[in-house]
Amino acid sequence: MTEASTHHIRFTLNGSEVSADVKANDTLLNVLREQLGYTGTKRGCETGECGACTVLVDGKAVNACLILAPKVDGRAIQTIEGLAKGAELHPLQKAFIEEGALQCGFCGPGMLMSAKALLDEIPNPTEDQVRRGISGNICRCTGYAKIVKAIMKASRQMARVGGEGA
Amino acid sequence: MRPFVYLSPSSLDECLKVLGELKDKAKIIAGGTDLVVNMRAETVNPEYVVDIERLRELRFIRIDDGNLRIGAATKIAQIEGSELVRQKAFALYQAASQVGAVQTRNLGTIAGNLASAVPSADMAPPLIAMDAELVVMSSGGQRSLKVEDLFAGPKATVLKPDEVITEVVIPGTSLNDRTWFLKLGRRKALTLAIVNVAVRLRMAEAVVREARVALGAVAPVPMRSRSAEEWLVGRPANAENFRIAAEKAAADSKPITDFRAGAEYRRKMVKVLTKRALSACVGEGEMA
Repeated sequence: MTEASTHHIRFTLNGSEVSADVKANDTLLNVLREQLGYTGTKRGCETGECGACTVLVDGKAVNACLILAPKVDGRAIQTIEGLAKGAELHPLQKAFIEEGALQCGFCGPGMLMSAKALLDEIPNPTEDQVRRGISGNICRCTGYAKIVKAIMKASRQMARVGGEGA
Repeated sequence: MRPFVYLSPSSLDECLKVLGELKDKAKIIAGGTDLVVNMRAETVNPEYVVDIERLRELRFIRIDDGNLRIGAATKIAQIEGSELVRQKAFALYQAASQVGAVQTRNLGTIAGNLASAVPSADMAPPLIAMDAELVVMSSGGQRSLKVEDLFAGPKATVLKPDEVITEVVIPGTSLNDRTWFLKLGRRKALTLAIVNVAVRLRMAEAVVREARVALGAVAPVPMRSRSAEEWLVGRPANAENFRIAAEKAAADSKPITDFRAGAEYRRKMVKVLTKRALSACVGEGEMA
């Protein structure tokens, strides 16, 4: 039987340089959760259909369960752990709390990362754009209405803060 | 997922050399949205996985000699976001925007969607309708292959193990024609098509001069409805002719019953979608 090749990879994780020795048949999801202890990214269907493992690679929302670990060498990865700035929650996280957009919470990290990717690209999305932006994330508690409301609220708040800063 | 050796060639030449040596021991990976799922299920168990995702030679969208050329490893999301594709190959834009969801479109590639050869692949009908060809390379040379001739059966292609698709070429003659794509799924996102349809019409006055009707998920491979196309050519582009062409497309289709839909329903939907796509193609909206 073939032995898996091993690869020494370096990438940035939430802005910090990290390196890891990974096996070819490992996924980014496994490396994050099992090797690096970043368990905020959830393991769901592992077939790219539920969005629970959504992280950003070079700013794009992707399923960590579908990415072979050696592929992330040299990339910039953002996970839910990097969303807050220290003790200061991201506007999306605040809005999710205020709107009650989390029920069991399992979809939350993936949902928030999809929302972040969306707002990074479209700061003032329409409700349709929000729904499309999170269409790859399943919430089994079916709290979609509140999730959409929270993302819309966060986009308005971020625009206001951005406006004050300008 | 069983163990394998991961190789990441730094150039297309190196990639072709590696594939030439490994032949059927290797599987090509780009976005991995199909291969990783299949490897985890252990239905595909390669000894080597050769990564083409980062080969710059395979990532572009451009007009060259009047033809629209798209690199094989171009992300579906880039196709969706390309103004050039939207203007020159509207049905391809429509299809790209309905593949999977945001995350899988950011990973998946145009040639990956084709090479996986799933009968419902959304990239296939618009490319077949636009007479698109593939550039296929190996260490021994290169050849061109019509997208229509790529598929050998469900999840099977005519590609040899050492061959890789490098480009998708849409001929300039198709780029000024009207095209339309429609997909019927169980839901809007993250779904495989129950039926998908792409049409292309070239018009002179109100008469159809050239027509393509391409169907997905209703036969072992994506297919054209020759009898629908033949009916349309030389006839006025009107509701009655579209209705007859749609009936012919339904008759040409060879759907099966599976867990997504029954054969009878699929055949009926071929008729509905073909008629709607033809109507939309000439700007009549989605006539019922």
